[in-house]
Amino acid sequence: MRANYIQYSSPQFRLLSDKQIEELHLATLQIMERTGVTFECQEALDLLGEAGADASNPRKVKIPSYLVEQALRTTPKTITLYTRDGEPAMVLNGMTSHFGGILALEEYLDPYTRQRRQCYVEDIVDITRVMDALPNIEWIMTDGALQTIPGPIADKVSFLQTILNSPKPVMPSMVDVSSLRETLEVSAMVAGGEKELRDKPFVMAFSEPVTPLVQGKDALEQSLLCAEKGVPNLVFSMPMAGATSPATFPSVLAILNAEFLSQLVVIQLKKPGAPVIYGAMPTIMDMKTTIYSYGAPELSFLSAAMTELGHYYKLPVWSTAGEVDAETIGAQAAAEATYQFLLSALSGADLPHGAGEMYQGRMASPEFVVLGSEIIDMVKVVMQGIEINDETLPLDLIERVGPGGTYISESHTLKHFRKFWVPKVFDRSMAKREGIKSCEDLLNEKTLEILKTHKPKPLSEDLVKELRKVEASWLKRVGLEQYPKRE
Amino acid sequence: MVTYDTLKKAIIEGNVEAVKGEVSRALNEGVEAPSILREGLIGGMGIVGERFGSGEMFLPEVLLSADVMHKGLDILRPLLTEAEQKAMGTVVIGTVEDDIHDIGKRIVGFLLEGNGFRVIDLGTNVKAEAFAQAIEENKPDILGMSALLTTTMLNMGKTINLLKEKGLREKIKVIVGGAPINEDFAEKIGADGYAPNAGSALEWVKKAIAG
Repeated sequence: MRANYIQYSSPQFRLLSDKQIEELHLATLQIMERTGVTFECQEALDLLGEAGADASNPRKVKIPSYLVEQALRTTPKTITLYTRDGEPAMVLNGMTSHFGGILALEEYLDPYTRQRRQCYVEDIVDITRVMDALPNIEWIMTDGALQTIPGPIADKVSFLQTILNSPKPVMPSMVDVSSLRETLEVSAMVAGGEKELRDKPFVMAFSEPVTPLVQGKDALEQSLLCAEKGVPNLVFSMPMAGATSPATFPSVLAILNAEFLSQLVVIQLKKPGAPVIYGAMPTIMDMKTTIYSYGAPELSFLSAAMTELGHYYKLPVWSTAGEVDAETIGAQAAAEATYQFLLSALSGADLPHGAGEMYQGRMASPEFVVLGSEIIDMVKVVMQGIEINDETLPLDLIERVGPGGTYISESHTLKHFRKFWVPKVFDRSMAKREGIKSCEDLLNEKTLEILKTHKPKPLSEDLVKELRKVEASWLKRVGLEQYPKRE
Repeated sequence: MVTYDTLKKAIIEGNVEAVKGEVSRALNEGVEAPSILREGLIGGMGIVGERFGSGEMFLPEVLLSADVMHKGLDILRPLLTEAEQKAMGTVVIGTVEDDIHDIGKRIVGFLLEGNGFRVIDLGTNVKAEAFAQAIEENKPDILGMSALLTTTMLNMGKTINLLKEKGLREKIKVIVGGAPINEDFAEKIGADGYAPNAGSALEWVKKAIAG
């Protein structure tokens, strides 16, 4: 029996103090009231004007703080996501990190040839199956950026291949509101109806403000549609310190916060109670190469601070884990990814996204997803707490074994050793001089093995037939009989 | 014989007082304004460009150099003819229709201006017709288009086709850029060039204008 005893069930990680978060919040309110935000959508301007914001100049809409407080009050604090088949998959409540993969980027690292090339539809099928096979990857984001099929359908096609090849929740990138509408219709078909989709959402959408402080027409229209349909909607911007935001970190946080909150106000005015996910992808502009840097440690650092801000509002938070600048699977990629996986877990982000993304957002790699899963395993070891009790601190056993004794054959060891993490891909064999396989080769083997053997749970034949009909109509729309085949 | 070493050094270091001082000194010694512009100011920016390309200098430093270069140019301006002022070339830039991302384009604009080019920035969400009109009015040497989205980049081809229709295509060189763009795409739509970042865009424009 213990008294006044605190046990940590996880590491305790804080970047910002309570007072600092409050200060950032107040600074954000000042930005919204004084500097204002651009809104490029008439419906949003009308909602804001009617509610008491100064929308007389759409380039600089001034939003009073009471509208922000109102919006935060009505936004749900937890969101439950389901699988495509209607089973509970994840509860987003600020308590656990659920890592996600990303696919359908412009390029693809082919595991068969180990070459970088354009992404084809068949590649999306393959990488979805790999993500489906890995329990550490709990959901999938699609980018719809492949250029081997026409732009007007690339987003929908990517989404379709994903849901055909995995029941895991999906967050598809949509090019405009009419594409989103079509995608939601398809999703409702799969869920068994609009109400069923609303009650058991397996699809999330997202909307991107443009930093600094600009809410574009497409992004707003998509958010308003999500609000109407009750679709969980992520709002996230991608500030670059030194370029689209000042070069000092608190200002990046205040700006991204203003971008999120100003859109949240509009969403909650449209439909109080609409589910919204907090997020952002802040990083630096690399001042030598001018790129938006994915692998920069600043991205993880700022994302972790951003997560604390989102959780202050008691909202689920989307973050980044597994997206790197490196173009090959090697030391840089592994280091960049590990940093992100670890920091996103330590900060407690609900939805760290992006396992598999390489080469500054241009390429998806199934092997890199497999490496991501391995790193997530390692991260999970750090995230477990330390529990002290008679079983974990067996003084009697220590007494019995005594100085110079051994524990290897003790039943206590037999009972507990399975909790040690066993690598699936890293080599600890102490192999002889020849015959040590490189990690990259082991990853490749593992990936090909998954591709050969894994069978995702399929949808019903009837449903697949219906979906293929829809797919055919999209192809027809752009004058294609079938998808271009990968060489 | 004027070597401009001190002036160039002042530009590289972003030292506005030294730049202004050197420009005034050269004028007082009877050096011709166009020569100071070409060999001193633009020459200095050329070294800055090289160092930026090799990773020795950072973008904010480059922009500071461009800024002090302009302070030097301000002193020369009343002494330059209009033709001499336009000597480096004129560039029209913009982000294509339906696209509101512009940080990359802005950086290209800053670098071009810093290197003595006249830059007309049409902003974002620029329709093909607006690009065409700007070309008719300003008769630039170069058109630069930017896009960040795989959907909006298609509007680059649309713009080039409109320029062809209007007989404007042969009068300019077209360069495109933006995250989803690559050389294949640039070729496919009939652009003259592609640059992966602002620094190489600047170098491309310099070469394109030189011949």
